[in-house]
Amino acid sequence: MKEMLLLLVGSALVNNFVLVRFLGICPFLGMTRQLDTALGMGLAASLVLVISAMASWLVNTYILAVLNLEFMQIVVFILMIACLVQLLEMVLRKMMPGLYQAMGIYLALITTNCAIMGIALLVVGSGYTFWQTTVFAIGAGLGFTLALVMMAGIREELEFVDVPPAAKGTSLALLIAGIMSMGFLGFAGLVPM
Amino acid sequence: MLKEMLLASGVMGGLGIIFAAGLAWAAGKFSVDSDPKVELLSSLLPGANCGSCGCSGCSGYAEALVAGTVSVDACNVCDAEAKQEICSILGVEASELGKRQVAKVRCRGDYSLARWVARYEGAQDCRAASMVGSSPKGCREGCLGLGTCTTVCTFGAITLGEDHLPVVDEEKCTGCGACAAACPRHVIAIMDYDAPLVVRCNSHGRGRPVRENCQVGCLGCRACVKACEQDAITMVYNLAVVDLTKCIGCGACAEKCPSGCIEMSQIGEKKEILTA
Repeated sequence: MKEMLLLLVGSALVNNFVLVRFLGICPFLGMTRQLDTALGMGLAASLVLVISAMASWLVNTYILAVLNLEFMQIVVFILMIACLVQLLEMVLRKMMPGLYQAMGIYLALITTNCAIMGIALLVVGSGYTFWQTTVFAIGAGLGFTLALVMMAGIREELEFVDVPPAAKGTSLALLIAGIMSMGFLGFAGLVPM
Repeated sequence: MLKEMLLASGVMGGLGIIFAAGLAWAAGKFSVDSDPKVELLSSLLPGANCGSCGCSGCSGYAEALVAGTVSVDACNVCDAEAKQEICSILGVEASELGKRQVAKVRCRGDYSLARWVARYEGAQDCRAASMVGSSPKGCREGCLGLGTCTTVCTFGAITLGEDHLPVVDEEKCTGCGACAAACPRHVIAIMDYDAPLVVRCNSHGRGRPVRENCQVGCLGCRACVKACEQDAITMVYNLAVVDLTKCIGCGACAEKCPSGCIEMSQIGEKKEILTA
């Protein structure tokens, strides 16, 4: 249990996908103008992160590793994630139209997100068991959402701040991202790696 | 070696087929009936995705139309027939459909007629050039001639003339307003297609500085105001402004204008095209 908790905290905070591993920077900067869109994007990405991590573990363990085809990981994962997101979109549209309306646009965007590809390659490279993989992915999703929501909160406040023209907009967002990233380095000692 | 290659392609192909079959099954199982009206409307809309209606593309506009959140008049690009048909599909009364509008360039100061005080060598885009601290063109309100309006036009209706002044093909122009929004100097205005005249200057300067910077700028001399018998022209900050509801298109102002910046349209010709 303790081990699982450490894994969760480790992937959410210590090795935060956005601020420490620098994966998924695109939605981190592009989707964080408003708090509610950031939350929607974060939740949609978390869902896809968990599902694609589990699926890639299964495919890798029971198909690729058995046939000694690990060199095909990237190609197979691309195919798998694209299909999975399509499937997820269809299922959500039918079963949970409300949720689909809320995250519909983001789901399709997530297909090509590097955080999703990153987690698929990370879990098969680290030798986790299936449940460890799931917990790791949940932590990654939480960390991703946390980073997006924090960033959106800060940027919403910054709308009303008088900043020099040269720093306005994206350049200020990049500065903040850098400072947040340094802040997250403070978690480094939390979990013995 | 051959075995591995066959195995790899077999696995990849097999996975592809399995995923495709799964998706095909899911597409049937989880299919959601979409409103057939949306598709019907999409086929009637121009499909240019210019965004002037405020929706994300023509399909977004079609959905918004069915939902009833936007008006049929929001699309400038559709012709009257298509709008009529859209109205009949939606079951709404066709409101007074707006007059056809086109973009008109309110500047004649091209590279030879206007004075250039500096040479701009940055990105060849008016929006970039207008950010440079001091204007490269003597006139701070005139056309920069780098053709941003021509690149944003989805319909190929604006071309850059020989001396770097945009020329609008009014038959192709749909009045979507993309060029007017992109022009950093607000030189392009969206006006009625059959407006009898257009003041081809955008400068609010006084006579002498305008003349120094441009041979064809409006000097604010009021000759047109005096010439107009309908009282349709007023001077607003040294620029002639025509009230098109009063204008009868007699052309007296254009004859009197010393810099020739009032241009009469060939309205007779145009009326024929419209009715033909």
